[in-house]
Amino acid sequence: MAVILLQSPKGGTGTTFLAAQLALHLAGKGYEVNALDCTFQDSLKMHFGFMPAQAVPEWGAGGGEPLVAFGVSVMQGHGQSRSAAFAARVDREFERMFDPGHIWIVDVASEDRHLLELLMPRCVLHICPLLPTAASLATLNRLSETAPAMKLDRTVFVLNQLDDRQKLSRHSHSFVRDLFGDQLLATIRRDEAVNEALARFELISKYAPPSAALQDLRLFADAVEERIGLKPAPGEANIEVTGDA
Amino acid sequence: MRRDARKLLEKLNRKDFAYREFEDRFSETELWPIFAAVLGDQKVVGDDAARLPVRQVQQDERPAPAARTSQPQAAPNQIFAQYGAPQRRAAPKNNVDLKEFFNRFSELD
Repeated sequence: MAVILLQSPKGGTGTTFLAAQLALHLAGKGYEVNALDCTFQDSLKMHFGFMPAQAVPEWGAGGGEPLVAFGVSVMQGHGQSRSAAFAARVDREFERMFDPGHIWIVDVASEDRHLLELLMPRCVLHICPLLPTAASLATLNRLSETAPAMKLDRTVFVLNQLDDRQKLSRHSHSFVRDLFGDQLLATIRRDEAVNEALARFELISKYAPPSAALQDLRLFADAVEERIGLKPAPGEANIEVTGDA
Repeated sequence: MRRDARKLLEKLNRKDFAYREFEDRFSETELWPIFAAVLGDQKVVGDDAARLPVRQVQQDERPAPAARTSQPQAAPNQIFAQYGAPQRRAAPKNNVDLKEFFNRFSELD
């Protein structure tokens, strides 16, 4: 089992986008993947082609069958994770809640420190998206109350929306890379195809196969796979992310 | 046009595309105060932080200009190699020496 948290102390850094893309790419490699949206925004589903008005079944508690798209089961966990009994359930029956046969990609809202701290000791990886902006870099000191960002063994960074045309973006890339070393897991180039694909409720791989960001996302998924030592998926990929080879 | 860019165009069967290499001259490389602030923050780098006050870093720790050496032409498939999985230099994770860090940072594009 692998529970992977995606959370950034700064909102708007692409956490939901990266959670969805990681789920899609890991499913494309043949893994059984669940994507759990623990945010109020409820926008994770859009990255799998579901409409904003489409209800996503609540995780557990008889919420019904999850939505499944491109090999990923999508569930809504916002209500459940904020319930009074949730922390006790996590302590008592974590493996029952997070089916060990699956990879769980959990999208945690930027302000939800409680959920982050609750799940952090039990996750294999915490992915913190950053932007090459001052506002994003300034929140690096908000990652943990107990340890500095550089000493968080399970936390890695993804620098999102890189744009080499912008000086601060280039310099931020160099800065983060040198500061965090292999804690910087991947970089994703800024690419309007990402936004346009989402507006069409299409996969980037279908809407814009040559997308620069798509290439970076593939490397991001590879890096996660290597980082947490995932065993090769047992069978053939259950969904091919076309244009992504 | 760089040779590697021309080769890439040939591979793509295109005659042209908007291409520009964004490279900073040293005079344009700035030691952004936000970087110094991050490096001086114990909640980011731990006990190695704040060896020098941030203001002193800004004023005194500007590195000497780095000599530029000619770089070998990158192969077409290397043009974008800096993205995705980052190529890394030795990381100063264990001990953050601000002077050394900024010296190295100044050598970057």
